Amino acid sequence: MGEIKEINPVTRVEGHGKISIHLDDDKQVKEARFHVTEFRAFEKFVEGRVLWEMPEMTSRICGICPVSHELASAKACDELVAADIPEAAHKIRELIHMAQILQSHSLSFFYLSSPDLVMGFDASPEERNIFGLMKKDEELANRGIKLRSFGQNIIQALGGKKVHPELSVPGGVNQNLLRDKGEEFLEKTDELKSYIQDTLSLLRDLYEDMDVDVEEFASHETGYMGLVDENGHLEFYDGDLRIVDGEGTILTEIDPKRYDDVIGERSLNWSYMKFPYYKKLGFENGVYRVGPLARLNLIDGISTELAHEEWIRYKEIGSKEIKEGSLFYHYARLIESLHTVERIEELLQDEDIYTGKINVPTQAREARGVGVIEAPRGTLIHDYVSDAHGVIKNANFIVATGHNNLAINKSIQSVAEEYIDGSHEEIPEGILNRLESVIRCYDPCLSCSTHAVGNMPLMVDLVSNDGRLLDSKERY
Amino acid sequence: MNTVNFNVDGQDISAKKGMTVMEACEEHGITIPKLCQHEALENVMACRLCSVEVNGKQILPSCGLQVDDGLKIQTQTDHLKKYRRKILELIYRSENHYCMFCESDGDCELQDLMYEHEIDRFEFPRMYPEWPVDSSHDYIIKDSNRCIRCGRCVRACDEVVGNHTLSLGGRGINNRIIVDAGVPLGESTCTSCGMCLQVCPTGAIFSKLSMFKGVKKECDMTTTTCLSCSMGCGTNVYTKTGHIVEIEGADIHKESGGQLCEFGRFKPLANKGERIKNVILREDGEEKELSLSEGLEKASEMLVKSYRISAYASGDLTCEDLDAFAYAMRAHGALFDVVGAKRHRFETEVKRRINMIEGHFVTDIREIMKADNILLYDTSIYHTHPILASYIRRATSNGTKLITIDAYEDKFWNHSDKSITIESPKTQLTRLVNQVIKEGKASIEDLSRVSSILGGLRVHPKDVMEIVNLLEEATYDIIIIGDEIIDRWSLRHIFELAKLEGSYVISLNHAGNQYIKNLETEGVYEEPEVAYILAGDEEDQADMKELIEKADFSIVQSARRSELTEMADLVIPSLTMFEREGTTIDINGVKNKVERITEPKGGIRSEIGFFEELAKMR
Amino acid sequence: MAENKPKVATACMCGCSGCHMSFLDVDEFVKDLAELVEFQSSHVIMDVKEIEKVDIGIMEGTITNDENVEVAKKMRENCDILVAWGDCACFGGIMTMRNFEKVDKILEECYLEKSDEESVVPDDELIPTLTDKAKGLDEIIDVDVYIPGCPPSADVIRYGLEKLLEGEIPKLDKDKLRY
Repeated sequence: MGEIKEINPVTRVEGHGKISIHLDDDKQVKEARFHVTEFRAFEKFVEGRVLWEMPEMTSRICGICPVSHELASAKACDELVAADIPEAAHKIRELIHMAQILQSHSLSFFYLSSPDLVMGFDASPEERNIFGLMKKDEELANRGIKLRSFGQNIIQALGGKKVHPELSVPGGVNQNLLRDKGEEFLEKTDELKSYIQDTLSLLRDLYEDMDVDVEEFASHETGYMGLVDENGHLEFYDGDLRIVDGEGTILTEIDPKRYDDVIGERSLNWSYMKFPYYKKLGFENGVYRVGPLARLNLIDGISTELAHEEWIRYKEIGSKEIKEGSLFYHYARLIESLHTVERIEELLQDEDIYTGKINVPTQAREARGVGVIEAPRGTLIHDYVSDAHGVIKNANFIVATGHNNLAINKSIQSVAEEYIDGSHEEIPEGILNRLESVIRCYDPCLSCSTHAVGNMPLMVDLVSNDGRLLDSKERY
Repeated sequence: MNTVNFNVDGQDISAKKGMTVMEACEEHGITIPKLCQHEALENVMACRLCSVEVNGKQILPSCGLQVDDGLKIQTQTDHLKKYRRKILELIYRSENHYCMFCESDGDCELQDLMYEHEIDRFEFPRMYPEWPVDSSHDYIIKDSNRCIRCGRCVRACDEVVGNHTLSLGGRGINNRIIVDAGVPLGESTCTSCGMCLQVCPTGAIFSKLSMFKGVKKECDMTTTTCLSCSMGCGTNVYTKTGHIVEIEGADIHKESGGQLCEFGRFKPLANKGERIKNVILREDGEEKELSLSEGLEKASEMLVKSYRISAYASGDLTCEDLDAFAYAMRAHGALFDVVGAKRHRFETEVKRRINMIEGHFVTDIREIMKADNILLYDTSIYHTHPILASYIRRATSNGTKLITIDAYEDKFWNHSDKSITIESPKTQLTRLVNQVIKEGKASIEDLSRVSSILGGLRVHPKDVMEIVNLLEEATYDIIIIGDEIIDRWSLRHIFELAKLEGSYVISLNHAGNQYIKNLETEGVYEEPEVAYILAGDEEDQADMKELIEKADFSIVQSARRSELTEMADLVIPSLTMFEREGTTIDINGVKNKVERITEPKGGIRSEIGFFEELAKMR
Repeated sequence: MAENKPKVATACMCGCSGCHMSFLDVDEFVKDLAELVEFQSSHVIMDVKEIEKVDIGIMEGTITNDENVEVAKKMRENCDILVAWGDCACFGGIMTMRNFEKVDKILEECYLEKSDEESVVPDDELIPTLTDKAKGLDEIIDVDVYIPGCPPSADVIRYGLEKLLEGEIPKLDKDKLRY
């Protein structure tokens, strides 16, 4: 096995994900694997710390959506201490969460994805980034910067910092929004809504001009999972957990605290990321996706007017109401962004945000607490057990990218099978492009950091049945 | 000469003899880094951060160095800075400091010093010692991972609180703060005063109730007076967007050392009843919500049509609130009383009867720490007047003898020289003591006889003699009477004893505001037509409940829901301790200011205005 | 002029990407930067076939596996000035909380006790092996500039970059330094 390293050290690639394709003796694809190479141990080292620290600690799981982790954690802690948080605290948490979804979606669309769309997939990697976009379409880049900065500024106003803010505590939040800040933000919402609407129409034009088939591009049929409110509408903070099949038929809708009734987790020896699956269909078939695409596929509507209209329009595109292709991710993100700005506008006009009661005192007890939230990239689950003094005895996290893990691997497998026909011992041309678009389809957050100022690195290894590394290709 | 002249960093300064170099420097605006030194505590020179260069030769800690004529001190040489950086780094690296999720991030003295010394990298590897977090206490978390072993908490617990719960245990790198003989804090002798967390320079001891509620440095801070008991402790209340984050003791330079008690520091932030936002009227088995003006109407209607009205107020209100309430109630012909006033009336009556002069009463409770002997009646002061209790403990640490007399468990068991447990009336014991003192020690022989005649009583002759001996030996003894003693005979005998022996008396009162002593009160109708109770923050006072039970119609004005408000026919919103403003009078007769900390969040903005209206509606 | 622009590469080891996110919070300054420097992703310089030296190499995250070690060493070899962003790279950060326990035990607990009964511990040779202890960057390579913080604020990140572009090695004073 050491042979592999001699030929080509796997340690050469810096990205946190890599792909290997394994052949059988007939040189047919036996298996394709998407490896997650980082292991962080959070679920282990939070044990022994106290529950009140959890929101702050677990926010460090992700610097792109720290607010989501903080909120999921705070929700789990609320349950640990049996706190019924004040209405105002609920609204303030929702406000910072909306800001977070907006900033993350703006980052994802304007900083990461729009360069591809505007400059085309064939542009050089050096140009296909936010710097390139600034030269090519400064107006679009500016919109992105403004939208993200709006979200980040709300996060800072409530949590003191833009990344890893400190707002949520078990039992509520630690401050109201200052009124002058609220007024300042309210002045901007109309402009921001128009930015998103304009970008949506730009996107529709782009889709029409694009030579790839939007519907077929990196398409894959899976189930979908996400939260919905009591009306079945788009929900990020609360609500029930809904799972639908590839046709949009509801398979289950439960209190998210009971997530482990329907979702199992398996770990395999070749990836540090576990594989959650829908228990009823088993490990092999229980593939589902989460995230913007999933959410817009499973909801019955959106509670805010403009976003709802856009959602109706979106459903009418193409031949199927359920969207599978990765290019729809961008569209879905923009619709969700529009919803967040509308919801921020509503919340900023609520007196509670400025003067309402913000938290209740908490008392630890022996309990289990589960906090579930829709992070920008999908359903996020924090699950804790504490002792009578509030010391964490057990913790488990399922992050958005985890839910998509099985689906990513299935898709990679099908691409590999399509390209490798048993005749060669090398990685065929063109497969890298397809693999990248497939991974993009699932929007794994591990790609963000490296993609922010460049392009997503991709490394593919072709491995024979006896473990020899036949070929290795990289793309940047 | 009482002053000395010396030189610091090239600047000539003069200071009082006996001062430390650190104190003198601070007086002149020269700050020297420090971690173990704290102004309320003794200096122990443990951290060595305050080291300065003396006469160009030695490096000595300035907190332990006395000023002297001609000293040449350098506080900021490159060598010192390097030395301090190394100390800071070693402190930081030998424990497990994770600022990013530390409750004290932003309020940490270690962190501040590291910033000040621009430490952005480390030379030494980290040790990763394993320490568990002690979260067993209701309010306090002790996390040895962040403990720098400065010993401030240990000294605070000893010197200020007099409780000796915390100490240093283990040797070398295992040296650590331990609780009693190594028990969890929640199972220890801890009095929950929170002084340890107030002096902790890092995040090693902190309040569960304030965790991540705000960085104190960034909060608004108001200094006010605690209304919970008559000690009149100054508090610094930190708020963020109008919500209380943490309460700290303000009187660092006073005798109390800035300590607060559970009731001043923690209880106000702990679980409490829901705020009352609207007037509640319970009529014909139904509950109705009314506006404040409708509530005012209803209250005045009931007051106007009734003859026998009892008005009763909490003693934890401001002078101004009490005046306004008394005025309105008298305008409606009510009999008026306040919590604690009854005891005061009895006391006044007894004093008159036995011709006890005011000179027998201690005018400054700090005298406790000068007493040779303390005779304490009723150890519940441990809960009712915790700061006073700390003075007693401190006195005993310094050799004062303590005899406690209680019907139940002696709450000073580990501090008292003699515990006498005797069920009520304690008056019998005191009477016997008085008898022996009056009739001479010869009557000792009679004691066993007396004791047998009295039969069922558990007065032991030995106990009587011990008290007698103690008081006779001493030159300065203080008798402290807890606020739970309210029978006239006990008071009479205790006062008589003081008179006989020339002892001084501290008579405690349940009211937080001693202004009640200036108010004219007369006791109330026991079975009134209307009982009007101004409860404020106070919840579930037994005598308040009793009054409601006997009244035909009861009005309770309270900030929060409680058993009391559940019993009332008419509930009117009130203010909390932190929403009131005005003045309060403490046990030494000093008038202190009470500041409004938070905007009123219940259904009323001003009680004074409300009572002015009510007074007019006759 | 374009050729004279300093080349900058950034890399994220085991971390949360929060420092990179904080970097993007410089908002409009990103545009100025695009004029001033040429950004290259770290993996470009990692490609053995065409090693391209950069002037400034920026690293975020903790060293937790052999791949991180390799990447850190490569980055050091291929850049003139190495900048550590954030508490993780500067001091080890929150990831070093795993150092209280043996790696094998952590893996077992995380993957066997917290997954279904058919689960196994990841140990394939195609994924990196965890180092015994999680480490700060300077325990492996020399670091020239330390910008700690969790994350460092956008202002501080900007200050660091501006100083570097002015040709100075930045050192954070007490007002800028935050952990």
